[in-house]
This record gives sequence, structure tokens and C-alpha cells, in this order.
Amino acid sequence: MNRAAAIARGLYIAVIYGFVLLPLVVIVFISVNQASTFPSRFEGLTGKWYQAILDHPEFLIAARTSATVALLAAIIAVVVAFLAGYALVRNKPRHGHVLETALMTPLLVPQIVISLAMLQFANIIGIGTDLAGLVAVHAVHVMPFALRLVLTGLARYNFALEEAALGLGASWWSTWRHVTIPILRPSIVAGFTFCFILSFVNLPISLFLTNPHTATLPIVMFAYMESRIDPMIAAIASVAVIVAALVTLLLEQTLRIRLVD
Amino acid sequence: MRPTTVESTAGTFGRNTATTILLVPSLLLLVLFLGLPLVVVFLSSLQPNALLKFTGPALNNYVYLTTTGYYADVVIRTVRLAFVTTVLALPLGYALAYFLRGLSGRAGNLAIMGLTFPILAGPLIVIIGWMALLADGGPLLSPLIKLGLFSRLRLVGTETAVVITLVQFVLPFVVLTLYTSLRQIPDQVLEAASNLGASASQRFWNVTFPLSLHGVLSSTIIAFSLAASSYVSPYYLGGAAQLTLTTLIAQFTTATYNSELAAAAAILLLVLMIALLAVFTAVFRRFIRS
Amino acid sequence: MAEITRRDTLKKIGATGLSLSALATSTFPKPAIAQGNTTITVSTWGGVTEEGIRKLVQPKFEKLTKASILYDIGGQGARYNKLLAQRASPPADVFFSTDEAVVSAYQQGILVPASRKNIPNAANVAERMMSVKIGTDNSTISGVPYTIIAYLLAFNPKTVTTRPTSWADMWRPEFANKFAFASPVHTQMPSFVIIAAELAGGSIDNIDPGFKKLAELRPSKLTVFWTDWAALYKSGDVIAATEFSYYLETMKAQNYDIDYVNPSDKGIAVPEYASIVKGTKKQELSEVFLNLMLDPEVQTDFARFTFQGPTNNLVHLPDDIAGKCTYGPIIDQLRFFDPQVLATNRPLWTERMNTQVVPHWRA
Repeated sequence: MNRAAAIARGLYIAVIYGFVLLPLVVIVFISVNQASTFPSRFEGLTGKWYQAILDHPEFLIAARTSATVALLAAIIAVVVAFLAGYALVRNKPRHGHVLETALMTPLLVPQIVISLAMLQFANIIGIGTDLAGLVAVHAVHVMPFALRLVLTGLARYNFALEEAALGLGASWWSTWRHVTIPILRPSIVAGFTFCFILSFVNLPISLFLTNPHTATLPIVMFAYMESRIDPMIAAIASVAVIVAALVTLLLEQTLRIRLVD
Repeated sequence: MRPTTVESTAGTFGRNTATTILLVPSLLLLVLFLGLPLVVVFLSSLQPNALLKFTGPALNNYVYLTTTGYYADVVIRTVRLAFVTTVLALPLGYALAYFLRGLSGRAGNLAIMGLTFPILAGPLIVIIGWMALLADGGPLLSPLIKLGLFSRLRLVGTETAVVITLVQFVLPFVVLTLYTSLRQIPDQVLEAASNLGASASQRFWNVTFPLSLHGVLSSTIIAFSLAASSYVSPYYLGGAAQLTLTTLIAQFTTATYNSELAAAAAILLLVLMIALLAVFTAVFRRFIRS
Repeated sequence: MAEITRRDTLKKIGATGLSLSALATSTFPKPAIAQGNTTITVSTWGGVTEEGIRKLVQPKFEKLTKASILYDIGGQGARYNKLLAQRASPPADVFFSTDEAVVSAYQQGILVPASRKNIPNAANVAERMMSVKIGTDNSTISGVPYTIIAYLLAFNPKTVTTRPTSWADMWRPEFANKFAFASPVHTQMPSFVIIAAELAGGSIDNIDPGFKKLAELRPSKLTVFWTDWAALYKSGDVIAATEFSYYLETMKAQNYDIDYVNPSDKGIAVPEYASIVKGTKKQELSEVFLNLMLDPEVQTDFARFTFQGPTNNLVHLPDDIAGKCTYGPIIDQLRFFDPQVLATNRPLWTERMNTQVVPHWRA
């Protein structure tokens, strides 16, 4: 690649990253700015908004709830999507396209309606809305994302490799362990990432399905923000990002879990 | 001799049984936690409500929504916003994914994950950031206006502002999907093309791009549905004067307590989106095959 | 090729997740657990309301009853729907809302009256504050109006040289496209339809002129909370707004250079209510809580903390906060709208706002 093209490419990458990260810059700025309201001119650096988080345990509790729900929902969604995607691509059942579209429908239903409907439904059959129900609805909602990634991964997947393994005497489970899943690992990990993120930050689904014990972080932040302009909120958001960065690095260092090989 | 296909491996299991077993978990999840609530929604949508009095169950709510011009505008606006967002995000995201596809290991991991960090801050907070940036008197635009480059832009409260924030929201998902897809294309294929005399441009258009089409399909669907179902962006930056289907349904549910009309609007949206999705996927498949 | 099996990966992820959350659990504070075995669940707005109750009411309540309080926070709309959807086992014992929502809730059968006997402080609440007549008689009250707030007209004293004096000033050309106005989903929307109708020569019985007049308004931002427009005010994109006075006092306290008036044609008075949810198993405890919300000391502290006005006649606010709250003589200059009228008309009027008025606001 010649010089000009390389520069153009670098510039493009910088511009796009700048665009995507721009609001985050503003948020971090607000979280370290002395000013007690925003938007404001720069008035000096401070860590007091981060410190203030410690005085509000409800945010930490909610963050833990959100992380738990997101983790469980993502695991369920990825496992279920993997099985379904595999069946759809390999075995090409009759009405496969219909099934695929059906499995995409959670994307297409307004979340606030599903949340309310789930609440009404739970009330009819007499169960409460506890963590299990919340996780289930989150899992259903993010499953299509995992499915799309699995399907994309399987589109370029060579099933002959499996045939070879089976022909060499491997069992089905062994084949999956040593051939299928390792090859599809990027799609699976990417799917998991999508699901976790989307569940963690979701507000509309949780709107009607949380009770005092299961308030998620977006719900608590939303309620706090309605009547207050407090830089502490920006600090909380920044902490979420920092934790995510650390977890990404941690997973990558210890478990070699990455999006790439 | 060891069996080599599903049929023979399965022995007493047929191909169909194996398929069914694999599909049951997802379908069960779908039916229990989406299907049944949807039945509740549908039944509710047939009932009279504070706005429309009739003897239910009947389709009056649907008739009202489809024949009132205002709601047609809301639907068109929703589809338009999602469409524009997708059309902008796809090329931008594809280019970025393409440039980044050579990155591997920690660099690649961080590069991709880095794009998702703003989302983790939460759409609500990100919107605050955008409101500060897009206000005429804010830090981004006021210098430009003072320099005389623009007159008052009035971005907040416009569809432009909503699209900007939606593109920023869907871009990481688009890039991640396409990145995953592009990295699956083996280098040997491109090498072979090169050896056969293909130019860089030919290699891209005749090899890379076609092989990445399934990723393009996936990211289009993801971008469109994320944009169409977004609540926070249209609510804060579009405002009550620019309702989309999600903010409209939220309004029905939480302001006028009209969950019946909200239910009807939701079913209409669902039908519309399924139709769009089915058509789009069918067209795409034909395109891929050719 | 590294062979990472799904089972192994899941195990590792699970282990990491578990150890992370074990670590987190040990450092994170536990959710508040009831001191005794009894708790009441209070459904209320997050933010200053919840914080106010936690700080100023909960300690007294716990001391009095040995019971504790759990909070279900959220916007009124979401909380109302939760009550509607869970009649069989209500998710809350006490419901905080506007007076209009109390009317709707009674019509839906999800609230129950409270006994006057257990709420002695109610005797000291002015009649006009008890705006919800349903469920109110000699022995019961529909709920307690625990605060009175006022919805008024704010403006930028630097850029707006002539002080506004009437609601009619909202139509001033200088405010066009720089005005933050109540959204169609705002609790005060129906009140403005009536006010606009009267300005245009109509009335509650001839409401059409109201919609026509509102269509001539030129707001640039439609709001529900002050946080929706505060940033725009700071940047100068908004120079006038309709807003609750207690929010405006909060802004003043945060050094926003803002001023406000009670229009000569009377600002809007809004009693906020706390009521008891039907199906509660803690009726008496809830009534104790409601009585505490009317306690003079609690009301004084609440006024100081939130700038919302007290409803108990026995409350005497000290001078430093008296002028900032909806308290004293100003209440006579405010207009109380019948919540029954608002509740009945809201669905149709919201629809008319969306279809007949808001489209003009874009133009």
C-alpha cells in the first residue's frame, strides 16, 4: 500500500473511532470536572464524583444485579442459539427459513411491550417476577444477536471437516469439542459479547419486571437522573467502562478468550 | 465401518429427530417468554380502552391506527430513521472492519472491544454526552457558529441528531459482525486470486466482498432492528414532536395508560418488521446465489 | 490449534464469573434487610423524593414501628402499570403519585381508602389540598396529599428584558423556538389545554379553542423533567420554560441564573399524594407511614430538602426557605384543577395534542 493510501486509511480509522468515542470523552470530562453541574466549563480536576459513588450503595448493588442477569442471559442465549443455528445450517430442515425468521422475532417486538406483557402473563399464571423471569426475558431478547453471529460463522464453515473427523472414528461430542466449536469460537465469543452488553445496558425490558430486590443499573440510574443533574452519574458510567476494559484484558490474559485467534 | 453422516451415526435417531432436539431449546425459550406474552398482547389489543369504546374483542384498535394519518407518519418516521441509520452505518462499518481485519491478537481484541465501550456507559449517559455536544451553545458547535461556518443549526430535536446518535450506537455492532465475517476469509483464497493476476480492486469485489455477504446481511438486520427499536435516542433527541413507534408505544403505556392501543401498535409493528425482514432476506439470498 | 472445549470454556467463564462476584459480594454492601421481619414497600419516584423519604422519614418510621421500608422506584407511568398488572399480589403497599393518578387508580380499583382514625395529622390539612374526593368521607380519606407544588413560568433574567406576567406571554415572539414547554405526556398537559382555551375565549366546556391556541405556540423542547431542558438553558438554546417551582429553586441553588413568576392568571397548584394499594397486608403500618408524611417536623425537613411545599397547617417554615416553597400567601394565587376532570379528559386530549397540535410545533 502506498504512502497516501496508508495515511488515508489511518485518518479514516481515527475519524471513525473519534466519532464513536466522542460522547465518552464528554462523559469522562464531566466526571472529573470540579463543576457540580453540566454542561460546564472546565473548573479543575477532582475525584470527588467517583468518591461519591461509595455513598450510594444502591448503584453498586444494581451493577452486580445487572452483571449477573447479563452473564446468565448471555450464556443461555449463546448456547441455545448455537444449537439452533447448527441445526438450521447443517440439516437444513423443511421450513428452515420460517424457523429462522421466527427466532429473529424478539428483535422485532418493542421491548416495553414485552416487558409489560410478561408481567401480565406472569400474574395470570401466578408466578412472581423475580430474577429468573428477568433473566429469561433478557435471554430471549438477545438470542437473535447470538443466532445471527452463529449463522454468519456457519456460512463459511466447512462441514466436510466434521465428516472427516467422524470418518476417523470420533464421536459426535468429540467432533464438536475439537473441530466445530474451536473453528466457530470467534462467532461464539462475539455473540456472547453482544448479548452481555445488550442485556447489561437494557432499560425497556427491565422497566416492568424489576422489584426492589432486582433493580438493574440502568433502572436505578434512570430514576436518579430524572430529577438530578449530578456528575456522579458520569462517574458511574466511566467506572462501567473501566471495569469492562479490565475484564476484557483479564479474560484475554488468563483465558485467552478473545475475538480473534 | 464407522458411520459418517448424521443419519447413520444417529442409528435409531433420524436426521429429523436430531434437528428437532437441537431446535427445541431455542423454540421453547421463544414460545414461553415471547410467544405466550405475545398472545397476552394480542388479546389485549382487541379490547376497548380509554380512547376507543366498542364491544370487544374486535379489530377497532387496528382500524383506528391504520386509518389515522398521524400514526402512518410515526411508522414512516420509524422506518426512515432505521433505514438511514443502516445505510450510513453499513459502509462506514464495513470500511473500518476491512481496515482492521489484519489486526489479530491483543491489538485486534482491544481495537474491537474499544468500540463497544461507549455502549457500556449506557445509552442514557451517552445521550447526555450527545446533548451537550449537539446543542447550539455547546462546546462543539458554538465555536463553529461563532466562526461563521454555520448559522444556528438547531440540531437537538431533529431527526439528524437522532440519526447521528443511532449510527454511533449501531456502529460497534456492525463492525464486530463484519470483522468476524471478514476474518473467516482465508488468506490463501486471496493469495490465489492474486497469483491469478487479480488486482487489489478485483480481489476485493470478486472475492472478499462476496464471501462477506452473509456478514453484511447479518449486520444490516442487526443495525436496522437496533435503530428501529431504540427508545432513548428518539426520546431525548427527537422529542415528543417526533415520535417513533417505540416512543409512541411508551407514551400509550406510561402516559395515557392505554395498554390496549399500545398492544395493537406493537402487533402492527411486529407484522411490519417480519414482512420487511422476510422480503429483505429473500432478496438477499437470491442476490447471493447469483 | 488450541483446543478449547465449550464445556471447559463455560466452566472457566463460570468460575471467573463466580469468583468475580464472590469478590464483589464481599466488598459490595448488602441490600438493606429489614430490622424486624416486617417491611412496607413504597412505590415512589427515584431521585430527591426517594432520598428525602430515606433520610427524613424512614428513621422515624423504623423507630416508631420497628418495621423497615423497601423502595420500588421509577416513573409514575411504569409504577402505575405495575400495580395494574399485579392486582393479585400487589408489589407495593404505598403508592406515590399526582392527585390525578389517584383518581384513575381508584377508577381501576387498585387503591383503598385510609382510615382517618389512624391518620390524625390529616385533620390539619386544608380542604382544597384534599383534591381527590373519591374514597373521602367522615371516616376515610383517599390518601394523603403530602406536598403541594406549583407549576410556573421561568425565564432568563439577562436575555428576557421584560418580565413575563401572564400565561399569555408564552406566545411572545421572542420566545419562539427558545421555549421549553410541557410535553403532551406531562402531568400538567390537560391544565394547559384549559388555560389556553380560556385565553382564546373558550372554557372547559368549549375546549376546541384551546387546541387551536396551543398550535400557535412555538416550543423548541418538550419536557417532563427539568433535566430535560437544563443543559439547553445553560447553552442559551432555551430562554423561557414552564416548570415546577421546586425544580426551579433546585436550579437556582445550583447557580443557574434563572428567575420565575407566578402568572397573574394563576399558576397551577398540584397536590402530590401517597395512597394505600388495594390488597396490601400492611394496612395499618401503611397508615402510620402516611401519617408520618404529614408530620409537621417531617414536612419542614422535606421542604428544606426538596423545596416542595408542606400541606399541614401547623407547619411554620423558617424565613430562609419560606419564600422558596409553595407555602403561605402564594397558594391563594394558585389554581387547583379538579383531578377528576383531568383524568377523564387526558386520553382524548393527549390524542388531540399528538394529532392536532404537535405537528404544528415542528413547522
